[in-house]
Amino acid sequence: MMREKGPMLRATGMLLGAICVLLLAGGMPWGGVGAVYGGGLMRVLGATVGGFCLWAAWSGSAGHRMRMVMGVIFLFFAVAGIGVMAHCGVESLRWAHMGGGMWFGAVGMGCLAIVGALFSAIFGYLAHLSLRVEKLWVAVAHLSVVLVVVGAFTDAYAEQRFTLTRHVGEPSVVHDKMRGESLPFSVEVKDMQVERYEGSDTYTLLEHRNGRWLPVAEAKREGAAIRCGQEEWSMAELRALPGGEGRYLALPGSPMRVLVQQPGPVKEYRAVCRLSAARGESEARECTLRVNDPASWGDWRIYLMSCSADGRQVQLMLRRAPGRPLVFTGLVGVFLCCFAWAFGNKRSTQA
Amino acid sequence: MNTLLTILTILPILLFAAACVLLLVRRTPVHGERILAAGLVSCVLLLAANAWAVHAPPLGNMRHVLCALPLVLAPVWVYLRHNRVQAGAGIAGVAAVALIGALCMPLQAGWRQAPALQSPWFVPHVTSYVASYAMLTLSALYAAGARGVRESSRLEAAHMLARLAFPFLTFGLCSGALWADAAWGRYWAWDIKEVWSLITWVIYLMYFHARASSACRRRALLLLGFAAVLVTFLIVNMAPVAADSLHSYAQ
Repeated sequence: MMREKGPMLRATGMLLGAICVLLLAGGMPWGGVGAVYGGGLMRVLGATVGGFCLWAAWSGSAGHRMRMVMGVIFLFFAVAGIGVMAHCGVESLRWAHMGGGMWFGAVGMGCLAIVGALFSAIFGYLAHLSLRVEKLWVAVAHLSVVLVVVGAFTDAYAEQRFTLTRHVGEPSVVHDKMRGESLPFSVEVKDMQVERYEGSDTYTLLEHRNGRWLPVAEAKREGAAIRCGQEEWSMAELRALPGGEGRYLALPGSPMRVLVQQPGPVKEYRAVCRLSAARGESEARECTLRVNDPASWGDWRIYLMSCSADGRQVQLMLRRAPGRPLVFTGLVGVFLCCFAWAFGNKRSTQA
Repeated sequence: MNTLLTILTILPILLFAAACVLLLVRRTPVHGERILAAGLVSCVLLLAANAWAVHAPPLGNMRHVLCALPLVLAPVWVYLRHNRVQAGAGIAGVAAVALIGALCMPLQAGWRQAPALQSPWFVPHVTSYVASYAMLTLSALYAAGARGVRESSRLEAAHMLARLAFPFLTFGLCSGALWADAAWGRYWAWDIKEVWSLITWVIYLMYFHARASSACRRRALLLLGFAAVLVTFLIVNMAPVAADSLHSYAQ
């Protein structure tokens, strides 16, 4: 492995160049990230980065240019195949039964088989060549990057994502306009709970004018005093009004002005949801969504995104990402290999 | 409480500054190492006080992170088997500068952990980034001082530290993606902090791939990488665009 440093460095340079182009394309605010993802550019760049990654691994390990070229060609077909499979899913099999688009599904499945065989062959070949364990980790790290890119590429092409804004108690069947069908489940938000931290440093100064209490200024607690512009009151001289649970403070010498403590910052949002099958089956279950804790239904994930100030309206996101397992596997592979590479070498412990 | 937190921040600054001077003078390195150890212990107290004040792991804003930075250097100091005096001086200097930076930040005693930060990924994600940034700072110090007869040995030390830091940098990047997938429903959002952390990672990746190139080029890449660390860690947070960032709670 890595007998020739020249090709390895060149391939790495090309890989990094491709990543920079990817960054530039995705990061250009005036180009519109959504437009970039929606268009074909992201897929082309994804395939390019994937190809160069494979090139780096292949040329570093084997050094045979022919295999490298074949690897890129295989990768191109493989990525195209995964894209077709992910996009069409079982639909391609239905078309195959109908005879109309049999070649479509067949090509997709064939490409999927090729990519599986290709990655297995590369891994086995590198393992065979790598007598030194450290270099094996480097090779696997490169392959893990390929997995991440293929997964992201698949998602850019085949991910389904819906944002729902629903009132509490309102059942919802989601209709996929692109595919002309409803999702296999419905979502009902049964309850929305907003938990807050106790207390707040911020107060609102209310003044009684023309028979109404009107907010006139913001005040902030600083240590043992509350400051509002040029005015300052110590906590000792403020008196809590009865029935206000300590949130309403009367100012000394001015009965027409009151400080109201604002609610504390939000600690947690919880949406109790009921998920049920939308197509006649009796399957149903309840789940609690939190910000970092989405629920799942088959290969769909349901995320809690936000809620209205009164907690009666909830925004959810439904997402189906077929490339997610590939991305996750690749990410785990990258960081495990990095740790093994850095700490598996005795030389690295010496300064 | 505010006074206590300020005193607990100033105390380790004084200890680290004294340790740095003693270790640089090298007349009494044993005393310098003891004072450095005392500074690290006082940082544990500071971390505990911060945790007590905010009722959560104190890693949620710039001040908390800068207060925690010296602690992640303690294992590095133990890990460095050779040239501990020189490394100790560097660690004490970096720790003192980080804590002075913390003093300049708002105290934020009323900071509370936002819902998005209540995740099992919070502590490992932030800690791994802090550890990697601390080690990469030391690495850049070695690289900057790599001249003359000590060029080879200092570049080797800088390489070793960068090599130790890189897996933590990678873990930070990967764990951030996994966390974002659970919290925001996507593992990459082209947020300015994310983009700069990726640029930092790519620069160090270039450094490791250019290992066989000249000493001058390696030193330049290490310093460039450190510049990217500064942009990711400090400048991005202070820039006006940070207000719109998904990482705005890190300010």
